[in-house]
This record gives sequence, structure tokens and C-alpha cells, in this order.
Amino acid sequence: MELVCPAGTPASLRAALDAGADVVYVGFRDETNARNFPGLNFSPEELEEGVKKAHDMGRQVYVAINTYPQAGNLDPWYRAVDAAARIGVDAVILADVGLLDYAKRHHPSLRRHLSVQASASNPEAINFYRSAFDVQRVVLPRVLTVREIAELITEIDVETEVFAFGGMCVMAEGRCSLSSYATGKSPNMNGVCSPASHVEYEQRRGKLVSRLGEFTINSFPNEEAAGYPTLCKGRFIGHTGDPSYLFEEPTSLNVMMMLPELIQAGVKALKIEGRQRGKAYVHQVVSGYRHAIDAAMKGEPVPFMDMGNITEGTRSTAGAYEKNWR
Amino acid sequence: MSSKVISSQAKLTLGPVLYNWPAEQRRDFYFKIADEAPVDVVYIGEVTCSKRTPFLTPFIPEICDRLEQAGKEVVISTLSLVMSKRERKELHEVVQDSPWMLEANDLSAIGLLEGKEHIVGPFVNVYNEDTLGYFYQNGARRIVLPCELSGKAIERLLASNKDREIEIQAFGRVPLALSARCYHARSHGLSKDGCLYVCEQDPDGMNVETLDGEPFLAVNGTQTMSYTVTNLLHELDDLAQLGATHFRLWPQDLDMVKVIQTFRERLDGSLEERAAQEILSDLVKFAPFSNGFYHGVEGNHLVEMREKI
Amino acid sequence: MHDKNAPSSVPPFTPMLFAGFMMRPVPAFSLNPVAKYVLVRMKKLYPEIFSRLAILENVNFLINPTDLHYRFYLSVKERETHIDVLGNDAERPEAQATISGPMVDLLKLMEGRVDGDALFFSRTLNIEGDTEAVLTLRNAVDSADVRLVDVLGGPVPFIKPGFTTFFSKVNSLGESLEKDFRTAQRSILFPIMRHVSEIDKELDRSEDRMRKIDKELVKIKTSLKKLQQPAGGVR
Repeated sequence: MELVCPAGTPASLRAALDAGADVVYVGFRDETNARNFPGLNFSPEELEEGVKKAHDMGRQVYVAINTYPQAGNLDPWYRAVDAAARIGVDAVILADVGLLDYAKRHHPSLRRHLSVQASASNPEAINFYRSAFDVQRVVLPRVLTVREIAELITEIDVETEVFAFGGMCVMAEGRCSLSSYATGKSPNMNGVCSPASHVEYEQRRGKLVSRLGEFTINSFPNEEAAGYPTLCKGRFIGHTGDPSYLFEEPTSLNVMMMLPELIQAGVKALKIEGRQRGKAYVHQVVSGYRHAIDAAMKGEPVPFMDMGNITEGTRSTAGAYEKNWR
Repeated sequence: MSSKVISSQAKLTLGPVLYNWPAEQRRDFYFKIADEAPVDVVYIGEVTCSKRTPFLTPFIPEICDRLEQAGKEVVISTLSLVMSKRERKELHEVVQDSPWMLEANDLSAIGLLEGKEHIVGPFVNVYNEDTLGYFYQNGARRIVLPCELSGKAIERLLASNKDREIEIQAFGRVPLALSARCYHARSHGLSKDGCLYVCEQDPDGMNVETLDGEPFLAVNGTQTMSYTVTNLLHELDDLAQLGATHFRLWPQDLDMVKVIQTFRERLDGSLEERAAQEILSDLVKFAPFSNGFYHGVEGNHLVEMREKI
Repeated sequence: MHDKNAPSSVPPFTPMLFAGFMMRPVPAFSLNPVAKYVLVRMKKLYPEIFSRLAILENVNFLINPTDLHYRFYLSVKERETHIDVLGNDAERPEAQATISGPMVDLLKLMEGRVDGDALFFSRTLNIEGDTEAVLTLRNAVDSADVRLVDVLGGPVPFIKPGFTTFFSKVNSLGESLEKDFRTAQRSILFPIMRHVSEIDKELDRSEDRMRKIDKELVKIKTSLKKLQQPAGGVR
């Protein structure tokens, strides 16, 4: 079982490697990746250094180029794929059909993974990407139960990577325009969801009120743990007339206790979300998962590790991996 | 207001009903469309939730016959989020057996339809000319563009494929997101498995308000929709000139025949824009209009357009 | 919007609060050379931080250790970063973004020993104003492996030797005392908190009523707007 870990900066990359990551995944410092946040990500030079360090340690680096190239402005995406190939990364993680086609034609020997942003949730879709673009691995969308994942694996001949920890989309990834509806900026087009540029925090009588664009997303009373101002994790009013977490609570995914089942299902790699998080987070989660995977692979019980302090809303869920989540 | 008289060859399409209208109501709706609406293409099929599929399926042949007799092009729309064994089996069946053209709303359908003529639906990500070209190569006859694309991007896409069919979403609440979870059920304290089909209560979706009581979104089962109603009446002229061949109107629970007539007359140049806007305003009572996506700003916004020179 | 009654303006009960009391006689301007020295050292040791900050155009940050009597005024202007120390009684300068939290946590954050989002989730850290700028600063600082020991490395000029020791020991001191202080905090503050929470509940009830009234208003406005909305009108 491969442990794939996030890094938004070179310091986080070092932290991930030190904590036992098999693979670190990163993005370039522009709109070509889905964590296009200010001050984050890698220049080609920083990536080159990171790849050297990882390879010296016998580890790998993947590069996410997983936004959808903009009509009439394809160059930044082409250049990102070219740079990744030149630097010698171990795989690129792509979502767009056109870009997959470009990578296959121009860099046939560069390993291609299908990003979660492509939302390939069934064998037919995955097999299409396999036969059309020769993808070697698919990162599964967070909509499937562990049982469905196990069944799916028997019907495809590509490796699977699943999300194990961190921020959790409640919508099918790559198929959501909620952010651009509220702010004009979307994950698919701009590499941002509920972007910081449109977020405002206000203190209203001891309550922390978060606003996104023109809309109030949440109001956290005193002492209550807060979450990201992601609009699908806000409090809204539905048909009952009372405020509630209509879509999802502020919470983080954590599947540590399901590791034996995921190994059993034949999952090839576990992915930690959080390129936007600090290196302290990276170190804590990666160390925790390193221990847990090592234990689970030996058939030992997975040790309980409290990740409460770094989770959103300070709570976690097994999310869609359990059927009752739906 | 633009008062320029246009006359366009562009066709009008009626998107699939996204909401859980009772099957008989859907049948009667389509009969009325067949008999009265000047629409060229009608899409039909359950796109949102496979739990609703069994109710509509028995009526489909009858509805399609009636539509075809009325001279409409009929297209069967496939499910947008395909996960379970049953959903996959149904997809294989419709691909093998459907006598009508299919609209692929997931990459699974795109894969199965490779080499066969089909339509790429609005739930498939087509953001640039490379992807557009790839799908045409794969067998797409027409491609419906995603809702969040700006006018600029649409313009580039139209320019890159001059003689191909491209469809633009021009009216109705637009679907913004899909999920494995049912928010309609969740808001009623139910799970998706035991949902009691509560989504049937809201024929235009369930309004979602912010803590300030401001209307924000609408929920339709597993689908999250815009609260605002997209209205590209004003942009129709430009889009048709740039080469958009089809305009999609999403069914809402109102007089859709009148909506279709209004768009048709506007395309034919027999109705002034101002008058057309007034008709639509009178018809759509439940939410304001928006065209923000088209203008590259927040999707919920309505950008005021001044008279063009 | 700044709410004078927000708890962010109430200092947290921490060891640093007392350190602050002890330092009260030290005027802010005398700390300025120290802060500037620290910044110069950081620019030298961690240039990557400042290259990441350079994307900001003219942003002033107010960094407000809520348990000290000083505030740091960090500004990025034309790709250059400057710092000033201000006393709490000084006039509030214009800042696009404010970051408030206990000094120990701010130092931990600077050294990347704690995750900024985690501090925010737990409400330890408070931010106001330009969220994007705050995020840029956080990401920039986190991109280097900052160690205060290296930054201070040797005696700090302009200041008595004892002071340097105070700064470098601040972390370990802070952490060991934190726990005791939390216990003390509970015993002192609990009765007051209970009273406050009663008042809060009353205010919540009023707010609920207001919300319902607001909602009615929105409904009325919407239908009014609908009536007035001209063809292609503006929202």
C-alpha cells in the first residue's frame, strides 16, 4: 500500500518525506492545479530540487495538473505537462480529456494518473480513460462505498488510489459549479473552491460569521470549532425553516479504522488531502498513517490516533465509504 | 435594450425534466409539448436519480412516438452520476437497445458510445477546444456546454469548430452539482435509501436560504441547482451569430410552451427583446433571473446589458 | 466590521499575559530595533518567504498578540517587507488584514510547529479583513523551516543580554505554564462565563426573532422586485 502525501511548499515536501511518505504530490504555482492558492505551490526549480531529494531517498513525486485548460489559452497547461516530463516526475495527475490526449501524444512514456477531478466513478468510465489515454491509475471520487470500491477493482485493470484523510468534497469532484455560482471562480476553471479572495470573517457579538461573496455561509457560536468557509459545509435553511448543515458538517475524512478493508479490497494507494495545509499538519498526518499502514499490512490492529486537533470542525467521518452517509 | 431584429436558423431544445414530477404529469407535459410547442429537439430520461427511473420508463416509448409524430427530434438522456450495478446495467441496456439518439451525461456513456453518433450532455466537462475536438472525433454529433463557461470561452469554442453543433443552456435553473448523497432526503431527516420520494414535493426544487434568510440555492434530490433562473434572451443574438446551433431550455413547472414560443419568436425576429423579457418575467414567479456565468462573473448575478451600437 | 465586544479583544489568560504585564514599562518604540533585526535576519536566512510574499501589492498586516501590550505592523510594499512595533494604546493604524492570537501560538505558527488552519478551526486564531492576504502570509512563512534560535542566533544588538534569553526561552516557558494557566482560567472565569452565556442566550432569542422578521422582509422585497423587474433589469 503506497502512501501518497500532499505538499504545498518545499518545506512540506521535506516534512512528508521525513514522516515516511512513499510519494509526495505537488502542483505548479499557477492555475494548472486545483490548489491554486496564493503563496502556495512549486516553481519548476523548486520541483526539480524536490524530485531530486525524493529520488535520492528512493521515493517518488507526482504532479497534479488537474484543472481544465481554458478555451483559447491552453499553453500554461501544455507547458506544465512539458515541465513535469522534463524534470522527470514519476507521474502527472490529469483530469481534462484534451490534456490527457496531449500528454499521451507528446510524452508517451510519462506516467498518467486520472485525477479525482475527472470523477470516474464506474468501470465503464475508467476503462474509457484506460483505453483512450492509457492511464495507469485512477484516483477514485469520494462517492463510493468500500464495498463498491472492492467490486469496481475486479472490473478494471488500472491501479486505484483513494482518499484517506483530509478535506472532503460532498459533491462529485470536478462536477461542481457551486463556487463559481457564488464567487465567479471554480475548481475546474481556476483551481479554487470558495476562494480566500471572496471570504470574509466578521465577529458578530462573539459569533464568528463567515461570508462568501454576498452570502453568509456560517455562524459559529463561542467555543464551537470552526471550519473552512466552503459553501457546501455551511449552515443553511431548507424546508424546515431551521438552520442546519444541509449538505455536510464541517468535518474531515478519516478512514484509518477502515484500513484493513481497503487493503483487502485491493486499493493500491492511499491519498492524504491537504496541499493547502501547513507542514505541521503534513508531518502529523503522514506519521500517523505511516504507522497505521505498517501495522495494518502486518495484520496487526490499527492503533488509534487522535487527529482531532487538525480536522475541520475538529471532527472526522468515514464519509461516503460507509453507505449510511448517503 | 437591444431592439435589433434577428432571424436565426438556430434550433431550440427542451432539456430533460430534472425534477421528480409524477410520471403521468411528465407524460401529459410532453404530450402538450408535442402538440403545441415550436421546439426542435426534446430530451427525455431520468438524469438526476436512478430511484426515479422505474416510474418514467414505461411511458417513454409512448411519449417518444408522440413527439416524433409531431416532427420533433427525440433524444434519450442518460443518468449523470453512475455508481451502482443496477445503474450500470441500465446504461448498458439503453446503449444497446435505444432506437433513439442518446445524450451521454457521464464518461461511462461516452465510453460505451464510442464510434456511435451521440450527444455529449451538460454534465460532461468540456472546457476547451482540445476536449471538444476529441469528443467530436469520438462520435459526438452535438455537444452541450457546461453552465459555468463564460461567453468568452464559448466564443473560442464556437470559433474552433465552425460547422459542428453546439448547444448552450439558455433558460431555467441550472444544475450546479451532483452528489452520492440526497439532500432532499437529508433535509427531511431521511436517508437516500429510505427517502420516501420527498423530492416530489418541490416541482422546481427546494429553495435553500442562507442564515440571513437570503435565497441562495435549490435542491433537487442529489442535485444542487441555482436558485436563480438562467435567462440568455439578451445574449441569444450574439451567440447565434457566433455559431451556436442549439439553445437549451430547462423545463420548469410553468407554461413551458409559452417560454418556448417566446424564445422562438425572438430567434425568428418576430418579437422585440423588451416584450420577450416581459413575457418571461410574467411567467417566472419563483426566482429572479441571472446571466452571470455568461458574463464571467458570479453565476447568480444578472448583468445589465445596455443597448448595443 | 469591528465589534468592540468581540472576545478577540479580550486578552486570553496565558502566561504571556503576565510576561506582558512585566514588560509594560518597556515602551513599544524601544522594541522596534529588535523587530527590525529579526526581520533582517529572516530575509537573509529564508529568502523564499519573501519571494512568496512579493505577489502581494501593498498590504498592511496587523499582527496582534492578544496577551501582550504590543502589536506588530507588518507591511509589504513594492516587493519589500517592513515591520514596526506599536503599543496597544497607539492609534490603530490602517491595516488590510488583522491576525490575532496568543503570542505563543503566533510563534509556533512562525516556526511551522502548528498548522494555521488547525488554530483557526479551534478558534485560537482570529483573522479579519483580507483573508487572501492572510493566507499568502501563512503559506509564505510555512514554506521555510524557520527556527527562532537560528533567527536570533547570538546576541541581539540594541538590547540587554537578558532580554534575548527571555525571547529564546519564551516558547518552552510558555508551554510548561500553559496547562496550569488553563486550570486557573477555568476557576476564575467560570462564574462570569455562566452569566455571560445567559445574556448570550437572551440575545440569541432576539436574533432569532429578528431573523424571522428579516425573512419576511426578504420575501416581500423579492415579490416587490419581481413586480418591478423590467425586462433585462438589474439585480
